[in-house]
Amino acid sequence: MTDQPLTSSTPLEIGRMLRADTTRCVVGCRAGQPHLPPLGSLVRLPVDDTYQVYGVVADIQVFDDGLTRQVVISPNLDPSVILDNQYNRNLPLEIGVLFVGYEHNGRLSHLLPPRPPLVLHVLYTCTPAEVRRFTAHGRFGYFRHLLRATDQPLAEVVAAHLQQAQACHAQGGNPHWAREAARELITLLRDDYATLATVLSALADTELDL
Amino acid sequence: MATQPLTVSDPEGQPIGYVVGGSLQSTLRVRLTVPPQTIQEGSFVTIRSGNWQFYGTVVDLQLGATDPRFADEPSEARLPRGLVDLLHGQTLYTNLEVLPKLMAEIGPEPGTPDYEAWRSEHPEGGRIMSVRTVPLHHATVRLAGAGDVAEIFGEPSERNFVLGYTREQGHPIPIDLEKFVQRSAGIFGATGTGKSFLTRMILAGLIKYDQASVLVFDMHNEYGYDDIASDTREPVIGLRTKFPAKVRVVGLGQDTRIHGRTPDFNLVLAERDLEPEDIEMLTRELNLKETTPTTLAALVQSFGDRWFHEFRQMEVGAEETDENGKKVPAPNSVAYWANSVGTNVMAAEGLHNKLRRLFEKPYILPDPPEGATIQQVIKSLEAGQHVVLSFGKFESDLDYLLVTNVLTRHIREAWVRKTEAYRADKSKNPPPRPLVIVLEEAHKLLNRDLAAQTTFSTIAREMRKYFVTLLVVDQRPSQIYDEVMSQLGTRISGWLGDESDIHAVLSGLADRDQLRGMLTHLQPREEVLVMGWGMPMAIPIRSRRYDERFWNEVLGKTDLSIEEGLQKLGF
Amino acid sequence: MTINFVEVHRQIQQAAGEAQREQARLRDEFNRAWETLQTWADRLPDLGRRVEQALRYNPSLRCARPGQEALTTRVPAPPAPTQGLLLAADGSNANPNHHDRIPFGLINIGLFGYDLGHHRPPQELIQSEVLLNQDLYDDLGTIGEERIALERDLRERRALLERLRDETVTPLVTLTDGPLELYRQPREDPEFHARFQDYLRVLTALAAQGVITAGYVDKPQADLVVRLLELALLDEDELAQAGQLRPLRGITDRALFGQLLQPGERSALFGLQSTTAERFRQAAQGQLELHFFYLNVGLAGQPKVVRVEIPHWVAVDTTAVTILHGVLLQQTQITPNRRYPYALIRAHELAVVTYQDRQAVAAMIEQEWLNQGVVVGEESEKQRAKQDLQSSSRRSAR
Repeated sequence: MTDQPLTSSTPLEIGRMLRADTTRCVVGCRAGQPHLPPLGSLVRLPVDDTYQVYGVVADIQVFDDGLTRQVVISPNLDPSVILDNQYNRNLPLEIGVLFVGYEHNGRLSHLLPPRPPLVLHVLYTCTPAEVRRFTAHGRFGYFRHLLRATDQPLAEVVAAHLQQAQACHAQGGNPHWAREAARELITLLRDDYATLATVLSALADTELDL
Repeated sequence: MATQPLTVSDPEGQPIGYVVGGSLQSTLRVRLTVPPQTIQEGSFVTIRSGNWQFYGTVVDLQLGATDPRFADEPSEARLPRGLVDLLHGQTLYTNLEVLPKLMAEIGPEPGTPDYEAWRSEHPEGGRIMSVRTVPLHHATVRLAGAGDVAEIFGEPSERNFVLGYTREQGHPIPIDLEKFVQRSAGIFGATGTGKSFLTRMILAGLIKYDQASVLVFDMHNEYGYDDIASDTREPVIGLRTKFPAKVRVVGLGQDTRIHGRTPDFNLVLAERDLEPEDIEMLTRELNLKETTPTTLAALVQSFGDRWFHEFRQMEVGAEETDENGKKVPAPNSVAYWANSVGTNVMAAEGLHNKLRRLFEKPYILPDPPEGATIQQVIKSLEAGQHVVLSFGKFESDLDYLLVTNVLTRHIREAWVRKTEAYRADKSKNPPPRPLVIVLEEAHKLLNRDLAAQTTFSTIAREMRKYFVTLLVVDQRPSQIYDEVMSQLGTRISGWLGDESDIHAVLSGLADRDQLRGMLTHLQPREEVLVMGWGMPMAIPIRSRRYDERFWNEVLGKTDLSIEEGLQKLGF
Repeated sequence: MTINFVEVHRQIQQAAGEAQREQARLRDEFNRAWETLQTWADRLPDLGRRVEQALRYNPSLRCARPGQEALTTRVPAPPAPTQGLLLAADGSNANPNHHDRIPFGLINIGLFGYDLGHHRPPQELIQSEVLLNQDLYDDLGTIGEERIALERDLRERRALLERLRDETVTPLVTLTDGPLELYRQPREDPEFHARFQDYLRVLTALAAQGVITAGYVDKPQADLVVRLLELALLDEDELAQAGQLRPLRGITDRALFGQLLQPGERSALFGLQSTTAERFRQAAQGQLELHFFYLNVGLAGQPKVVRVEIPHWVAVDTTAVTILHGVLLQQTQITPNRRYPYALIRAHELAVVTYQDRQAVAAMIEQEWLNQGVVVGEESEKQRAKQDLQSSSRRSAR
């Protein structure tokens, strides 16, 4: 999967929503998806022609079942069996998405979506242009939704998000987006030393030129 | 006017931060938005808040952190440079403490319709007043621009004499000479801080401005003629050189030469010029007994204003043999006189012995020649000339104490008379010309023991009642009687090493705590703090250099003459 | 409610005593069977004769026929094959339910192709067939579960054949779950007969292609070999009662071969004697005659004996049997605790029709019926009541 570009130039259908609450949703899709959106990437769930919800991938869960538990203890695992379990078998994979905003009648907002998508609404990856548009809207208001998710590896999600979004902005000719984003993160977190230290440490591990 | 000696790299009125708190009673806290090294203690800043502009000085810089852990943790080692900059930009900060001093209503932003309306209501602009309210939170704080400086300290002119420049941006800081001479003033600083250069410059300014006469007690013969600087061995231009028509160099004693040159005239004290208090003032210097006043009173009783002359003629121990062959005091002896007036012989003889040092002074004569008298000095001063009294070879404290006191007493008496005449009939009598008496090593005359006895403390206390003020120059202000110190209007101080000196310089001033910091942190050379009654607000400055350029500027020469140019090149 | 513990205890005591006596009897009989196995191990012609004799009295006799190998033969595990294709098929079905508003049946076949040389990832193939309208009826009325099961089995084999038709790699091994014999007792109706003939045609085609075909019986309860031993124990005059006199009753082949076979070892090849098997033998010049062997896919101290059924054309090909032996061991080792061929697990997984799947298909049918204006019958009240009990998931999104 490392060979995949961070974001595809065309939107790709990834999976369908299983359940949601006000702040997040879980999307089910097949394991072995070739275009699985990476942690921290911006995704969207169109609800109807005028309304779609934006989110950031904050959690990806791969589930096992009885057979994988059986296979895993096999003394010498055939390559065929490994490939079979990774790509053929209908093991569920759940993508946890934090809602970060929405678009209604063409207007973006970094507020939480007024209502979540419904079950089986489709999750799409965002194109670089869509990423640029959403992340450059306003002043990083959507960060608060990411920072609220303390049950997730918040720092990793944020660092991954910055790295991917910056790649899109770099394509669009803006080398400074991540720096501004980092500045905003520090502003938001400066009264929370522990979280900020973790986030900065994660940012330091990215290849971002801050 | 003066070109600025520093390169101005910052745009005028560069914003440096915003107000985050504070109080009128203490100081305002300002969050710095520029690197702390660009701001120094004592920086003159302006704060724009609504229609008001506040003026103040930076009195402290404090490092702060939103969380102490950000300060404790040296994140440079763990995070990339850019991230560290971002982090520190938001979590570590510098707060300025700004002491607000003045405020002025300046109206809305210039160029707006509101401003035009305000201008028509306030055609002469806002009035500068002492600060009596505070700016709002987040009001922008700027380093004062040249316009702000001029607004507060005045446009440089002959009256507004430029003493130096603001330290960061080199805006000229003048003192108002008119105000400067209205009260006694002081110039302080440890040895080597450039006190005497500063004094020369101020004197040059006063002479050029020419609204007051100056009398300099030049104990070390520095001010009149050109001299050689003791430290740099560079030639130092004297006031007489640049103001040959206005400055009179007066040599103490007949035939005294100053730096090998004949002074404009000499000063000799007449014996009758001396009064008992002049002697009493020398009690410590001459180690006089407590019987001295009694003896002196008897002398005046016996001889009137000739007491000194008569006492000087007497001899101690002169005897003759009477008819009975018995040795008795000779008629020219002290004992003879003492016995005749019924005073204590031992005391009188003791005093005579002690006064022998005075009797031997060649500058005290029974009858000074015409043109070498105290009257001549007074006349010169009245005529609008400036007098530098060079002590020549009479450099002892005794000479200094005696001559300055006697001379000043007579001068003051003259000015008191003129003032009273003027007050009695202003139509007939002109006001006396203001006089500034410059006192080097002032602590010798104004110390706690002597101050009460000399004329100087009287002058200091009287302020400008009789149009005479002092300019006290000293390196040990703590030795000056604090009553005198607290009377000083304008105070200019270079670096002082001694805490008690610092304390003394600031005595009687508001905001002493803040000023102490500024004073303590002055560069030992070429930086001075200007403060006190004569200044709108205290401000540390980089003082002007006393050099050719200074004189060109003061005398209004923009270019060096050919001769001076050649001279500079060593021809 | 109060329990008379005294009474209950007395009954339990009694039952435990009986169980103890039964166990002792079984132990004795097992020892007897074991001795017989050893004694008759090489007397294969004698045994053959006895089977023939017994059949004369009892044509529906069901037992093992001795082959060429001694009864106590133990063939050690061959190396796992490194090339070829294993194709497993499994089927699943949903039967018509008269509570449905629109009755329908569903047959789902899962095929799982496993490259023994690991040159390509495993392949999955699913064939789904919905039975509607006339599919659900035959001359006798609504078709039953048996018929659908038959259709399913037939489709399994047919799917294997279709999948392998153009396959060029060798060897080709196919595996289905359960005996090669068809499900349930055959009925003597024409429809069934026709399906059975179809089935035989598929097997014949597989035989023609030389496909190593096998049926895998995971937990065999049969006593085919034990019954053969019983024939040995009977006196000549008792053979007339073969099948009724059961001196080794209660002993299974599994127990016997669990004792005999070490892990990885297979037993001798046996022929399968039964009335159904007879039909296979009569077809295709005997090519389809059924054989079997037992195989210990367990571990040392944990024997797990399974039965593998193979047709005649495989049984006579020693290489093919060796390949099958190796493939089955390799496959059962992939899931060490379960010891069941991985390919069959996967084929079943592909084939299985869940309740949700069935409901989704039902919904699709109803929707289409509505779209096309077909009148839909009422869902029965019973069905609706059951649905209401299906509470929806209340899992949080977190």
